[in-house]
Amino acid sequence: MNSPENPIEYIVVGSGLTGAMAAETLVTEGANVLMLDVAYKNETGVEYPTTDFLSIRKESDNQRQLFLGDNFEGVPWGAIKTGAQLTPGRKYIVKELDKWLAIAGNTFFPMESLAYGGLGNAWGAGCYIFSDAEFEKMGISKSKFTDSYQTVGDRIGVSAGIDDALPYTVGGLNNILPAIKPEAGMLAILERYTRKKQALNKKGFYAGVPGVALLTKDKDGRKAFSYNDMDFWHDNEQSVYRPWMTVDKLKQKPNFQLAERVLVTRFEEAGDLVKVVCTHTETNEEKEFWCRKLVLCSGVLGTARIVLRSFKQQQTLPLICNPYVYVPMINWRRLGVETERHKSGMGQAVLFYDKKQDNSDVAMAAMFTYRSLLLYRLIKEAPLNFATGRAVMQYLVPAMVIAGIHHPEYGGSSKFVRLEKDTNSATGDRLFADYRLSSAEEKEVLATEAKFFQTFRSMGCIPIQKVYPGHGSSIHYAGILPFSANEALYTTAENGRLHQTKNVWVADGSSFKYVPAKGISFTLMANADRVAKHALKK
Amino acid sequence: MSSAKLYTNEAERLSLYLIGKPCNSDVAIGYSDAVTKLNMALTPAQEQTYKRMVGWRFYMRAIDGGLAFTNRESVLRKRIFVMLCLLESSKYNTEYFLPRKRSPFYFFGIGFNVAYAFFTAIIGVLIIKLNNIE
Repeated sequence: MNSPENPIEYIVVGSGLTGAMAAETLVTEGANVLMLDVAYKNETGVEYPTTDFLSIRKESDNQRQLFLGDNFEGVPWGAIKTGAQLTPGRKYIVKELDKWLAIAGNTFFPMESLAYGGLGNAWGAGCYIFSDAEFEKMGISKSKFTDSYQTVGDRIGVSAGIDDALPYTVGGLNNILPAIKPEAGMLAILERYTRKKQALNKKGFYAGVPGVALLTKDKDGRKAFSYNDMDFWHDNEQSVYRPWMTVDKLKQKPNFQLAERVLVTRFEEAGDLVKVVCTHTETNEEKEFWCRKLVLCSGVLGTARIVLRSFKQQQTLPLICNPYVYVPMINWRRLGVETERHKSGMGQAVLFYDKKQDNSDVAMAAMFTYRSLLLYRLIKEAPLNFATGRAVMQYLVPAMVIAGIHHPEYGGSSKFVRLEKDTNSATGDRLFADYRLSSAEEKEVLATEAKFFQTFRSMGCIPIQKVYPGHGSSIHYAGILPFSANEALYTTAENGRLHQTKNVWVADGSSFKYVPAKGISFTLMANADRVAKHALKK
Repeated sequence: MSSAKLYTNEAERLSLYLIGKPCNSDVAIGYSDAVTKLNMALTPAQEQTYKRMVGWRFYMRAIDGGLAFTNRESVLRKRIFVMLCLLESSKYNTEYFLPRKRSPFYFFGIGFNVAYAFFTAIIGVLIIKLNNIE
């Protein structure tokens, strides 16, 4: 029975990408770990067939249930928001957010999760190792991450192209699996890049097949990718890494426990122990757990709430999030062709814009083809009546490429969060977020996007429009508890310890002072491993 | 007419408008179910407009296209959209949604369709403005 007299060694808060990695590191070293998480799971009961998307579309009798959901939760309506791509089987990822993770403000639209495996359930699986220069801007040396990148890479399995993109993806990582095979349309784009490579490289553009946490060979009971194009709908084969796979494995170990339906609200230090205060999400009762060391892996916004409540000294905390836009494009050479039966819904090509040619401030576009999310999501956005929209989109979809452009991002005085009282919220408070780019930053973003548009055109893709889902939609957050050499409140030591605490560790992205455009998730996992190793030291 | 019969009739008309053929009974039942579950009740004025749309395909095309410019989130449009989703998620309609091999000349057919859609949308916008359709 957990009590101040019988505390557990470690409590890890959250079961997402960072929680799973931190817990695995601790458990592997023999520590006793209790993971606290709400851990909502998919309870739709819908089982997706293991065949490919086209076969399901042509043969399955229960597509309404598979694709639209029993209560039509898969039918989108209204403006596009963060998380618009979530399919019925993945809607549990955003369950009860308004109730437990209230957020206010009209300039920032984040996505959080109380799910088992957290936001990792919707992760695009992109893996990128940041450069020395990028780490310097984040406030820490890359050398501190080298071993952890490899540890995480070996745990989850990373495939990548050995091509011009490699220095920006996972160059330097050992045991890289063979890259996924891009479909014909994407190969045509990459071939055009190869033909114009010299000129594009001179302008700072480099393309290739991305690093992805996706198995192209069987590993530890997980299957090699089958190109069934059902990646948005289920994880039947477990080819794409999801954190719940790690937590499921840890649950078999005697030194690991998971307490579910537990929302951590704050902590208090008492001598050498940490009291962790939680709310049970079914009974609304307050509960306490005691530990020797607390490892926060609750995501940047979740960690902000917990730390602000715990320190009780209200102030605004800085926030960083990559500006993001996505661009539907037409690869016109693919008009009027049938798509392949076997393809991937994951990113198949990636384009980096390294304007200084030194891998220090790189912008990135991840490129996807479109099919398995069905046509209706596209038809809804067309400025046409639905009948014509259907005919047009059916014709365009084999040629459609979606590029998601991420920009690197620094903090600033107009980007912050703070905690406010809210008697309507289940926790009695809400996070207020404000996020605005300065006019110089906006100008820079637009100039970079114009460069990408030029390059897309030269690679055979005609951009149709820019869609801005709003700040927060990149789902890459950082910066609230920046690294600091001083023992200042609301900052973190380089080893991950939260300043002004003895035994509280921050193992998510809260400490990074800069967010490179390359996806942050792989680095977050490496950081969780690194911080957990520090927390293990006596 | 009972509401079930009414919805079946609506579903058939919407299917004719969207893919050019009547829907099967599963899709019609799905439409009736969706109208209830997705809270797509119409005001009396909207009801009147919708009846006219369902009864006259050109009017449907005009109002649907016009609302795409004036009020994209209109419940009238939502009903048509839900029907589209239901039609797409039926194995009997894959030929209308999955990509097909097309001749290069198909591009011109699509171009004509889009031009016609904009023409009807202009008429639709006029009707919407004159009749305060929401």
